[in-house]
Amino acid sequence: MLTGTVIALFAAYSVRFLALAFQSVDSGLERVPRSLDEAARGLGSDRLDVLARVHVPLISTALLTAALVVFTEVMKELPATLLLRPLGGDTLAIAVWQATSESLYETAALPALAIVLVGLLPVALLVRLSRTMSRT
Amino acid sequence: MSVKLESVEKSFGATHAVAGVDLDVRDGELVAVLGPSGCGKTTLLRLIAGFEAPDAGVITVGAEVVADGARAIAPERRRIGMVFQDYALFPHLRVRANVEFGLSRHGADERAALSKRTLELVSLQHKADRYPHELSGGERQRVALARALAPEPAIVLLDEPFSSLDASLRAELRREVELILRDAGATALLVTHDQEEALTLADRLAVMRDGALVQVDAPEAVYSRPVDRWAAEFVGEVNVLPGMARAGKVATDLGSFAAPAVEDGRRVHVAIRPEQLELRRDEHGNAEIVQREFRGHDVLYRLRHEEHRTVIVQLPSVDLFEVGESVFVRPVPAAAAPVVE
Repeated sequence: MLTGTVIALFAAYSVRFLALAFQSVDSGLERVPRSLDEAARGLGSDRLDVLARVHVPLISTALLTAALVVFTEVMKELPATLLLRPLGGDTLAIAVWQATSESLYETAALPALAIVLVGLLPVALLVRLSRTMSRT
Repeated sequence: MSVKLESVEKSFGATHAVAGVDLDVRDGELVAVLGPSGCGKTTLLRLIAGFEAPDAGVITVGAEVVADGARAIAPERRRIGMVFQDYALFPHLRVRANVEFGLSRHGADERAALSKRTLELVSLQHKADRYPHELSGGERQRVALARALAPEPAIVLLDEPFSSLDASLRAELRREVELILRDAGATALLVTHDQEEALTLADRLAVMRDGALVQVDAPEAVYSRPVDRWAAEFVGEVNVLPGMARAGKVATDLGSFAAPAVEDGRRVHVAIRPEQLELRRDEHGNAEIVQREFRGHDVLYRLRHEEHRTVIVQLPSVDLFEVGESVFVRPVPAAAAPVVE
């Protein structure tokens, strides 16, 4: 019933890429020592406040990294998108697939190039992020 | 504010980390809990802070019961200030923001005034805009202390606060921290395995072993009148000598010592500190020097007394004795040796 809606696509992507994002965020969280949690609790912060004032700022890089990696993956994802996409909504990956399946290689060239270019942006950002991370 | 622990117990599985502790920290007092690693002293601190809940017993902060066997108030509602072994400063915040972390319920003006005053108390007002990684170890510790003191907590809890500092820095910071705590009028509980630290800092000393407090008293009383052999040996160096009680005295190989409470004919042990013994050169003496440990301001001699027993003697490094020398060892006139076993 949900097939063909944006909600279904979101659900599918979440399941498909959760592990990927989790890995990055988890390794970020592991580097926050427990004494920081406790220090904040002792200073009057409840759990939610500790999350907002200590964890989120400390793992912001890890969160951004996860977001970029997932973005890149979602952009070129094909099977789930093909099955669940709403009518009339095509992604770049689908445009390429449709064109190539009909041997219209010239038509496929533009969206393919777009995937490469848009995919490069997060890569450039990730490189910069990893540089700032290794510095601190 | 005062803190009171009554029959507090905490187990982790089969381990009784804290086994029935009673402790009363009075308002404005600095109490040190001294014990070997694994004796449960850190757990005790965490129980007061609220990071652990006791299985039984009552913990009172001021007039409020913060934990009993049934329920425990969350740490953020206990008004405690904790200084961690690794300081636990927030790396993403400047010094000022670290100190102001616990002041979010105050208005902006009051917050600024409080953090300014607290940073002045620890003499770090000029580092307010630095990040923790830009500070030295000693400065980080003072920030940790300022952060704990700023919200004016009922009690400051310090968990081995000097253990990650260089030995040369330690003595200096110890004095500084003590002055800061006294200036702030804070009530404080310090946990340490370093006897020198505990003896020099604390108003009262609580000696802890296997989850229980074996003795709670003024440092000089713990040192000169240990309750048992273990406490005597754990706090400082000591000679434990066997003897026989007779007419209010215990006769040992090194002389008799007053022991009014011991019944006649009982075999007991007394503890005599190495600085309560003196040496005299004597070719026909009762001991021979086996080892000499030169420590700068004083010297620790290890003697073989009457062919078998090892006795340690500590003397100022004025007139040095040589290894192999024959000496006469005896207690100084004012020596007191409490019965410990």
